[in-house]
Amino acid sequence: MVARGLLTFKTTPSIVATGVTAGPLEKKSQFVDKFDKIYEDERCEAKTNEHGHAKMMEDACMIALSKVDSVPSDADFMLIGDLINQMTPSNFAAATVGIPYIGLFSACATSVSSLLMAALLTETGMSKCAIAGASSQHNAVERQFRYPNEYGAQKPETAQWTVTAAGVAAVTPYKKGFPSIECGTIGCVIDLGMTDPLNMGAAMAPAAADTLTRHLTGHNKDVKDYDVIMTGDLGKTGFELYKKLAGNQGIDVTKNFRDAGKEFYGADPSFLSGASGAGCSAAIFLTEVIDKMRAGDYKRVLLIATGALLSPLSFQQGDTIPCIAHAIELTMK
Amino acid sequence: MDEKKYAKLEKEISPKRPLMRNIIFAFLTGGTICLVGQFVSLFYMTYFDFTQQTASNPTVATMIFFAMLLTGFGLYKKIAQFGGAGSAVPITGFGNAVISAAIEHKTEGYVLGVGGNMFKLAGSVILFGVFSAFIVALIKTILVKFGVVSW
Amino acid sequence: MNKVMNEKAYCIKMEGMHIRKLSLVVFAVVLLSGCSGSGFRIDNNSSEDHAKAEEVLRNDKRLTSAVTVFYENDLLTGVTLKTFSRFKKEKIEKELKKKLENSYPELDVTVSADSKIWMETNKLIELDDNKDKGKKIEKLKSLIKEET
Repeated sequence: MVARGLLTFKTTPSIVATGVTAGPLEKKSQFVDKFDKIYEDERCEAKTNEHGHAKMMEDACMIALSKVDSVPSDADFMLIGDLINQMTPSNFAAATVGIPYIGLFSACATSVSSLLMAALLTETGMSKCAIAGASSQHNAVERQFRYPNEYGAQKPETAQWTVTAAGVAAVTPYKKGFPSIECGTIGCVIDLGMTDPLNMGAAMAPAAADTLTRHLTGHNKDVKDYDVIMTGDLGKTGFELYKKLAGNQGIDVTKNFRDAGKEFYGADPSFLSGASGAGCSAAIFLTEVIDKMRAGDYKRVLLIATGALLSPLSFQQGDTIPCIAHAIELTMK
Repeated sequence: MDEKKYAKLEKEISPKRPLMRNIIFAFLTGGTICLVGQFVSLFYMTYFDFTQQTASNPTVATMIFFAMLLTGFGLYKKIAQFGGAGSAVPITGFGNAVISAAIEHKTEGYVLGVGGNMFKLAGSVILFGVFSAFIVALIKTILVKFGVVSW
Repeated sequence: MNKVMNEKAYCIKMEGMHIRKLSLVVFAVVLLSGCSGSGFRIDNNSSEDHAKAEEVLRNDKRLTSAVTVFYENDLLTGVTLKTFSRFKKEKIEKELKKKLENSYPELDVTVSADSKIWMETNKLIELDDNKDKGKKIEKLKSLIKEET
């Protein structure tokens, strides 16, 4: 396999601060104590779901910046994204915060793709502080991709629950004592003909497995090198499939594999296959993983965020669901 | 890994839809809704001058009103997750489809939002309901004309 | 701490049992109430002989109950049907009406399988004074004609 789409950061930019906000239902998450701010209202006291979505992102940015005693005018770039049409929540958030901004879209993989872009900008020396992150809001996403929120449709066990959360990281040149970004892999779009939008985990699993093998072979690494290999939001079904696919490639999947979507709400059966959404991977990667790295529990981790690149139009027209997965490797020196 | 192989693997690993459980729960849910409807109908027959036939109109209106309350308080989708088809097939399911769409699009204004999108889901029910009624009536008319059945 | 948890779990368990017991009672009540309301009743306030009507109604296997009121020139019958005969409700109504009209050519015969009529006819029988009966029968007849 020719090594393509591989990124190596010689200067190892650091993630110096994170800001994670979440909606009221996310109190049921087993990681709730680690979130910086929990709203009592689904819409964050805003008039519409989309405004609430934007507010969540703004607040996450402000929290991340305040942790390093910065204000928005100290940040050079802002690279964020979400799942709503034309990414209006991110656009509105960027308008309020006022940091030079590029919107990124890799569906739920935006959490990692934005971190990679921020690391690249930092690597070139053009950025002293870049904001990277992703968010999703349950009501706004569900209404766009599926049915109205209050509509009674029975979901199968493979369906996932879009989380209401925003996760933002501040990326700066290398700083001692903080997790740093060592390398990454840009994913290929993989489409194995899955068409069921209520079984996204199955659609995304091949992309995750593909990116994992490419990252391992491309960067000459082994599963044993990592303390944890965490995927974004495959859910229970997708996670099983992903492990099976990776296992077929001769990768030892018995240890160190975790999935943020599967773990987000714990074992609560009312969330069916688990959590999904750009906010899911962003929130867990930037709390659970970063915290454990800073505490010294993890030395080297591989984060793979997966995204289903579908639109309501494409699946209604009977198209398959193309999926992508981006990988980023963090180390604690 | 090609598409066919993966589809096979996906089928193996994805949890199956529990058909028997769904059927039984749908039966119980649908039955309960109909039982409530029967009591509402009896209420109108006992306390007002409605016959069994004419009581159906106010009964349907009342059931839709109940569905509206349940939808507004966010309970109907929970019933639906439990009951599946049992909650979708009775008139309350139709009411839920209309009301949920109306609530959802309130943020876009009353005319273009609520008015324009209210029948987003239920519109096809109305269209194909009317259409199939037309087909059935047409077939029956022809059969009556040929003397196979009577009205 | 552990004790509290245990107690909580116990409470939840008991709550479940309570609901189960309650649902059993409701189920029994529904089941039993299905058995009531059968029988043939006739209330004769006119000079006609009601034996022929009783014969017609009793011999019809599709009926589960019938309530009949003879009052002046009116013969009002409310019937309930067996479950699957209900699909042919209008046909049965017509048949019965014809049979009764043959037996009582000079009476104004009304037959209805509507449960409202059955209910009201039962009430008519239990009514003591005959003053309002004529009026009430007229009202029921107009109710049957109503379409919506």
